[in-house]
Amino acid sequence: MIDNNFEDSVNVEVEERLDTIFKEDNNASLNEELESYPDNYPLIELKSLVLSLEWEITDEVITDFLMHINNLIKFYHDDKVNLTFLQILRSLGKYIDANRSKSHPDSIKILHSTFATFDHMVQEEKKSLPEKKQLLKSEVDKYNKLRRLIISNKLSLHGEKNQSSRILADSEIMKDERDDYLYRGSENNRLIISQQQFITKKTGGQNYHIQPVLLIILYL
Amino acid sequence: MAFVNLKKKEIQAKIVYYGPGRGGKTTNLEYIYQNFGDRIGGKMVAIKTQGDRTLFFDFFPFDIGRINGYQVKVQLYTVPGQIKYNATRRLVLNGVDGIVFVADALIGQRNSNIMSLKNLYTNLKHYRKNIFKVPLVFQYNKMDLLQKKVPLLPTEMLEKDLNQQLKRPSFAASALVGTNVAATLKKIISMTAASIKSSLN
Repeated sequence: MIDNNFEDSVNVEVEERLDTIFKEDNNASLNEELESYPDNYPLIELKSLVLSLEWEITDEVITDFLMHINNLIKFYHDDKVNLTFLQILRSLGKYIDANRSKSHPDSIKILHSTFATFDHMVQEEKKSLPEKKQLLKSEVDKYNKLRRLIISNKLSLHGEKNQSSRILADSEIMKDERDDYLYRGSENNRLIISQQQFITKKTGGQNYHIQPVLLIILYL
Repeated sequence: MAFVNLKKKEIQAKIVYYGPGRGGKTTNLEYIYQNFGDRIGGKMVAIKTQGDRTLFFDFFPFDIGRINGYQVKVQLYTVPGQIKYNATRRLVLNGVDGIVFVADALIGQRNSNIMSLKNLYTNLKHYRKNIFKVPLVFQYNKMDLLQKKVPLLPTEMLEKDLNQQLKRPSFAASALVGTNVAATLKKIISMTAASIKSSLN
């Protein structure tokens, strides 16, 4: 039979020891200085989804993510910089959705980086247009670098023979981006593809496309 | 069952932080290590993959001193949360004395929390342990995001999803800020100590 007094004294000893060890000098609280979003902030839901995507790419999360992006595209239909950010996010989302665990490891990082910059820019409403364009450019550069990496990885993995169809099929980013921009360009005339160039290279008598090069002019 | 050395009068208790990936298990240990490490000694070991994910587990042993004549040592472990690492999770659970289930309060993680708890139940069963009998504390993490107005699962919903039947102590917490990290640890150590003492008696 257990001696209750003995039990209690040991419990008290444990509690006291733990209180001493884990006494916090500054009670950390949820009220500590944290950046907070304004009411009705349009990116709140998207932020939650981006954080969720970091852990696991589920059908539910990716569907919600793409749905929110599409809603935001409508919301920001008259803001060309924001639209371009959203197009990049949508392209990355579709690429990750299509490739899941086979996605390039940097794709999630770039998704986060693009969202973080977009988020920052939307919050900082006072930013000038050149500043916004500069932020956008830095993310577009990262995005383009990722595209090149994906394509070069494919080339080095499979060799050069018969690559054109595979690259174009696998590289959802490329495909989505092209589709998105073509679609948006024709519909709203906001982004206009000034040149769509396919670089063609001859290998063993066979033609293949390395990648379509899209030069986009933003009429800002 | 805790490792008890009657000759040396030493008890080693193993506490595992369990839960879905990216839920904040490692952040809990890091907070404890950074804020209390100088008081409790020990060194945290973390093995991570590219992209900062836990590959095997994090390990943080420390000493809480002599209690009732016994030198009590606590070993904190985390498990890799990613679904594909179940073998490692199961291995880490071997010989566990107490569990902190770190749930992710992000709305998109609701199913992951539930799946992870089911996974815990299954893995404990493998060692013939009953989830209803193992000392267990729930921590609903990432509550700091509420300040940023990021929509989170309400604690009532988390309680209903995870703790309705188990009815264990639970804490709304932020491992990043440190809110209720120490309280969670104190509670699980206390419950584990009581459980070990009870089994020794």
